[in-house]
Amino acid sequence: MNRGELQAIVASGFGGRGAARYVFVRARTGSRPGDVRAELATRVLPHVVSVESEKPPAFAQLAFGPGGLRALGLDDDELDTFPREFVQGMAHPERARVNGDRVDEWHLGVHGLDVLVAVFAGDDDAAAALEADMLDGAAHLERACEPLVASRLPGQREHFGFRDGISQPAIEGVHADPRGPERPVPTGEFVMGHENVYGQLPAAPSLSRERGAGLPDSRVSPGRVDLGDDGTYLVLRKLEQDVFAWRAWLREASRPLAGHVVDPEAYLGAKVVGRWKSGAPLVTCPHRDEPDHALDNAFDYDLDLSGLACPRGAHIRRTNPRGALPPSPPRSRAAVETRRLLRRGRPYGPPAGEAPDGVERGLVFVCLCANLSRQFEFVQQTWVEGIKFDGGWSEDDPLVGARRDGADRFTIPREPVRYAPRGLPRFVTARGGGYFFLPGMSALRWLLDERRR
Amino acid sequence: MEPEQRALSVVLPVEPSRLPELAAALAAMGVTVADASRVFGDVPGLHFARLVMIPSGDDGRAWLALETNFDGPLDLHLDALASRVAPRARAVFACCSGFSFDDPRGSLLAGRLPERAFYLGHQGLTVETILNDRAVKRALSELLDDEISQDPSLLREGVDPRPVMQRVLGRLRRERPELELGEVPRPMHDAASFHARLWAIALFVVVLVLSGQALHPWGGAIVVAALLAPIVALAIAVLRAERGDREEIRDRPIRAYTRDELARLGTIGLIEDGSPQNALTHLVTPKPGRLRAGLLRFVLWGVDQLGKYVYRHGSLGAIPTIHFARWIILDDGRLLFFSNYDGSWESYLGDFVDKANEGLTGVWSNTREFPPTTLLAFDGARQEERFKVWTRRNQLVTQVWYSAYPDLSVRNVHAAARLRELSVPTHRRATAREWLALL
Repeated sequence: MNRGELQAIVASGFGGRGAARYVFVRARTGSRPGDVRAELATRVLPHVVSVESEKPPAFAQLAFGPGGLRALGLDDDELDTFPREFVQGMAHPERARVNGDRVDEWHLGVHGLDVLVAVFAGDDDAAAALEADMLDGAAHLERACEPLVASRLPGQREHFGFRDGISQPAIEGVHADPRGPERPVPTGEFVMGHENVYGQLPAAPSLSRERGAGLPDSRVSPGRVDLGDDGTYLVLRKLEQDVFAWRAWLREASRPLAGHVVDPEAYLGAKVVGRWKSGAPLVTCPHRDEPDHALDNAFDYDLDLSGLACPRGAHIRRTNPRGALPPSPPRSRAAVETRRLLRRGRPYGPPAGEAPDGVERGLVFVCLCANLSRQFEFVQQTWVEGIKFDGGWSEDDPLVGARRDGADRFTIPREPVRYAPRGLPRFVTARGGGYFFLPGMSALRWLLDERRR
Repeated sequence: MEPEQRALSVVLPVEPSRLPELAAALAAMGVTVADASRVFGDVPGLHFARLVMIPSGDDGRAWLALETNFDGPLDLHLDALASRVAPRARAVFACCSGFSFDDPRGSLLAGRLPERAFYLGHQGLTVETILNDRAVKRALSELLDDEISQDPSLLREGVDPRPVMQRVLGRLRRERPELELGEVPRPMHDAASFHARLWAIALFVVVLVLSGQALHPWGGAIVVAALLAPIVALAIAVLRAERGDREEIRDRPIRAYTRDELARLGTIGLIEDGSPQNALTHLVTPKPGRLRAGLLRFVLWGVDQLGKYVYRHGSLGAIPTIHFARWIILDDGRLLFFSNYDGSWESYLGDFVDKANEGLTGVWSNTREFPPTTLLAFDGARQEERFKVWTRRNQLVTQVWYSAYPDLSVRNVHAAARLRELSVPTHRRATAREWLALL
């Protein structure tokens, strides 16, 4: 494993850097692929860091949607060596059907996103300066829309007030010191060119030998060279959060619980999320928030299959069910291991005050995976949006679900009478996004090589 | 006893030149379950149905396939199909060679094929029962919600569950007297007779060995050797066949769709994943030779027996999401698979890979271009990406598809049946607790 070949975001979300800008770039009309490559190579590539690189005060990561690869000169046959879902793009009706998206509510990426330049820095001034340095005055590149400016909220929280980003798989060969007792996930789940959880090499984009001279021989497409080695796919979604609807619902829906639990609003919020605000999981802290347990991640649902501690439909249980699913905890854990995501998201917009302010805020959800359909789309379709998840009747993810087909209920198992409020509003609305190919460093240099055809 | 649920599989020949006309006629019927309800909705006791165009195989023959899963006697079902479905799907059946609208029943029967393996996820539960149970569950959930809103103290932990159950159940009986509660007859395949047959075979072998031993000092050993010889011979043949399989796909990249296949996937992608349930139609050609044809039939027979007698409670192996599934062998030898399942394609195929790969590999290892196997039962479907691509490449568009309860998962059906069974007065605290937990 050569960690110098991986773009740095594979190993880290750069938590120490307070600011991130997601800049969407495209080729200017009429610009030739050679010129686009040359400009990206001189303006952006020098700022792209690998896992091994020394990190300057501000740096970038670079990824491409299908339109971006076309702008670099790849043809349709070459694009067809990428997965279908990537070539179609997140806004395609088939993908929208799978992900439960209503593209008519989007304002980002409705017609695809070509090039993603993600800039990270200590503060937004530095990030904006690097963005300007790379793009202002470019002859062949232009911004496709306003960049998404993301930040950090105090205490690593998201806008609803919960600590975020606690459970994160460690990758074999990438993270030298895996966090927690979780077994590290095989490299190929997150990086192409390495064995995945099935002990196989992921399918990867490839080129003919003459075209891709200099790239390594493909081990999965006989007679061709590999463009995917040390690369992966990046999913970006702009998820708007309605903090005021969330607070109002907590107030309203927690009323019947008054007198039965200590703090009804905190209780209801924790049941929806699966963790208390500090991050402490319900499985280890079923009755009250215990900040000492904020980072607990070595728990399982095998002793809580009925969901009395953590409801079966709670957000963190849906998105990582651990041992909760049939037929048995060990087999559930093995199956769940094939659906992991590396999350790299950050909040955008100012923290919400007391009164509704009409300002948009939310999460720039970013995740990485080597197999879009098996990992990201599965989690989104079957676990988050799946209204039959784990024996459910008509419930989607109570926190982030799109409430399709009248799925607006959330069941909180209690002994002996469950509480199942109906009419859950949408707290989170997808406003757009895209699928990107995040190449390894060698493939990136090949893609941007101005001398090639 | 046998369940009252039955399978009917009919394939009707279609002249290849008329396939475009058939495709158009099927498309005109619409792609949603609601569309299909206009054709199948009033067939009594019908769980699931589909109409699918089977494109020409190597010898040029093509068919229209009809699948139904129904309750009760075949005769009544055929009458309903003849009198209700055939006239409404006239344009479709008109494309089939020799289909007679004067005798639709006879025409359907003439095209009947046996199911080589048939699995049902809710043995013994008729459509009528399933719909009754769904209504019971919905009504009870709403009544409990209503009770809670009138008296939030019910939410206190540790209240006695029995009076709560009594009150809610009492209201159900008063407000919905038409709903059936308690146990209903549930005929299922008799696992005991299956076990008895297994024991009989074992006993037969023991008696054979012992009587051999009685006749000659080496008799027992000779009998054992004679019994094992064909198995060893078969294993050798299997290993040799498997070497050939590997050659077949050695140079194929993992992801390699033709333009035609991509176009078909585009059509499928806009039909699939529309409701909590889905249909899979899959057609493959077996590998050549009598060995593979024989193995295929044997493995299918085994799957059929397991489905009938072992996996009787809603989970085929470790897959808890199949309502009805079947394998059929067409007259030209091709293997046709129909499944009516819960959830997304990706989740179903993921279950195949993660939880049922041996069984499926055992069946499909005998068909063309299947991913490389070990002993024809291992590895194959475990090659996750290759297996999914192979499945997609051989998937057909399910043009017309009907479900009588498209909003229910297999787990819902079983939970609702349990709820209805428990919906009788009880003095047991544990029963009342279980009953409440199902709401």
